[in-house]
Amino acid sequence: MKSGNKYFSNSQLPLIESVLNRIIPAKEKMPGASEIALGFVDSAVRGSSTLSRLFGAGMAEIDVKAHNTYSKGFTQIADDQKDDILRTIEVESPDFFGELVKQTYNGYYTNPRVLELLGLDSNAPQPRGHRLEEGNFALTENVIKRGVAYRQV
Amino acid sequence: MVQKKDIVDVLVIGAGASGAAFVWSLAEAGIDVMCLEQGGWADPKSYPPNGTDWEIRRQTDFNPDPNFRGLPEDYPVNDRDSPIAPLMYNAVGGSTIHWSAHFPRFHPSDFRVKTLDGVADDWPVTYQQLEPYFDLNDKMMGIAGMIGDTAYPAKSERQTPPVPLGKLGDTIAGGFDKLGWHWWPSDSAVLTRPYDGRAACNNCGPCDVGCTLGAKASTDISYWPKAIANGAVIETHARVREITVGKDGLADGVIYYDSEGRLQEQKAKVVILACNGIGSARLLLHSRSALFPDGLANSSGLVGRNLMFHPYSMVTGVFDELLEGHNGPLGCSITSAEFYETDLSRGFVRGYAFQVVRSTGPVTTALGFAGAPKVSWGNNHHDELAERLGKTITIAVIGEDLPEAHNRVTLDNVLTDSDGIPAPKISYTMSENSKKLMRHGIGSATEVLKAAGARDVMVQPLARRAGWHLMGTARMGEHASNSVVDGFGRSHDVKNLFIIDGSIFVTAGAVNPTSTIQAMALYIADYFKKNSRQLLD
Repeated sequence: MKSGNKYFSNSQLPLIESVLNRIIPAKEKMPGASEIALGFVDSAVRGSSTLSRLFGAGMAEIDVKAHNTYSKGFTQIADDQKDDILRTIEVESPDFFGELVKQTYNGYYTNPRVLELLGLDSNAPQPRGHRLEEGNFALTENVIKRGVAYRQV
Repeated sequence: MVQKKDIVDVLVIGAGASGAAFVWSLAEAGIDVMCLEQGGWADPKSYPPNGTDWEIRRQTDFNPDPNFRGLPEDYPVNDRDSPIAPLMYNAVGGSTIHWSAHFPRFHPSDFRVKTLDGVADDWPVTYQQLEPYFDLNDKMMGIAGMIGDTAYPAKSERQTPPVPLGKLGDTIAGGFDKLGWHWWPSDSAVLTRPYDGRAACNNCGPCDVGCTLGAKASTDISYWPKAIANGAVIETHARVREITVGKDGLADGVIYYDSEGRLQEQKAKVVILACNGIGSARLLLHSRSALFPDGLANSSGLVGRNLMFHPYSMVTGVFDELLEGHNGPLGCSITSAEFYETDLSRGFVRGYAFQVVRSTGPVTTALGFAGAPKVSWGNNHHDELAERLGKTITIAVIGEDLPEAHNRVTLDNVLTDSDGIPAPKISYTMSENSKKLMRHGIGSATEVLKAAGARDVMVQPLARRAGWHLMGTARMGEHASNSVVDGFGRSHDVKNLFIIDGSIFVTAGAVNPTSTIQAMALYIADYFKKNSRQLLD
């Protein structure tokens, strides 16, 4: 195993990278998902027999559809053609596609670099916590002025 | 190792919200009490908020749905015949480990719906009778809040100041104020100052995946240490299979599997069920014998019936500005009782409450949260996420579903837990009244979000994974023909068997039930202590 990956072999890497970059494409300051989430998705798929089964069948199907439709591999076609293929897969294999999107989002949005680019704290919620403004409790005076708000029994 | 006694005076099954309060109250009076809990002690250091993968663990080992979590101490639930999936947690502390700690009380009218509105039944207890127990429970749990709420009779001083409103709270309070509608800072079982040896909240956000600080009152850190100090005994990973009865028709103990999976029997003078609105019915239905062929305490045929959940609609407003909703306790900001009481001109009886919910992290936002759908993949992904992240306010519309006999818990024919005990099967449909009430709630939640400045509103008409509140399956009442237990949770059929969890609720109200569940448990405990000589002779 040269790639150091757990599920996707070296020869399968271009396909999964290409797919991930259509789920979350690079745009302006935001990186594409392959750069960020490939390792996460790879581990998640290897770590679950359900995901291994879904991805095994689903990834093959993506490439088969590309060949049948465009006579080229998925990695060889244009972005809008890739999106057409993925939209078909989304309808035909909803379980696989749902997990593909979910695992991509899970990996992407737990990445510290992505969190910082979004202006979020990349630390765990604890032990630091967050600052929260007190807010304007004085508005409750208007509630009190309107009087009793429950049915007296 | 637990010192085994041949017979204990009082055996409590379940160490969650109600079991903890009840055991503490008895132990404090020096009564011999033992608790069996099928889960273990939770370890706050291992809770998700200590890691950067907290939003992923919300989907896996901290998923509130036992069917997704699938831990050995969980039991599966067949929920295919219900639009609402029951949620629960199995550990010392029970579902208070993962609750959001929103802590309203039932309102006075909730105990009198038959008299006031001609529906369901009155409770055999009133708000006024429960008031001292609400107060005692608040003191034990530690409640942040603000007195003066016009939707209730005056309450005693709260233990700490309210949870800060933040920008999000200010924004939505502005909407309520503009419309002249009732709102109030939530009573929250989250400390905003140190109290009773526990730390104050630092507004990290996701209360629903466990509080590492101990600022949120789960009963493993509020009631249990005090109960154990007073001599209460708890055995964990002890899964009760059935309650046993003697020839006299009284309960005489339980059969359970211990942490090693070994069969054990424990005799007791009194047995107390505190396994939640699904678990208690499940255990009663599974405790069949020649004397009780339809399950224990079930001569009325009502065990498992009248299940109530509270239907939830999630209405999420999207705002232009950053509201920083991921800062602060997820479920605790403000509440509204504007539409709580019956107004027949609305076309339905009883009402609903609003619980304003903060927003959450980017994974949950991207995957779709509280009415907002999954952020789409592809070219528009980044723009769509940016429009929502930190810019939403959710109003959870929580409706009162009235008791209906066909909404019920039975035993599944096939599904079991890891010890072969039948899993519960849920059958539930929403009534026409509930549907009308929820439609109205969605309309008014939309109105207040728009008044607060929302530019877009997204709606989930009936949230599926929202069965947090489990009530009604062993209802209280005066007569053995139309109820399972009396006004003190005591079985009509089996005089030394009590039920103290949400199962005994006659109606559901339209607010989160935990404070009322615990007040009832303390109220029953007081009755028990006053009559202990007769009950334990």
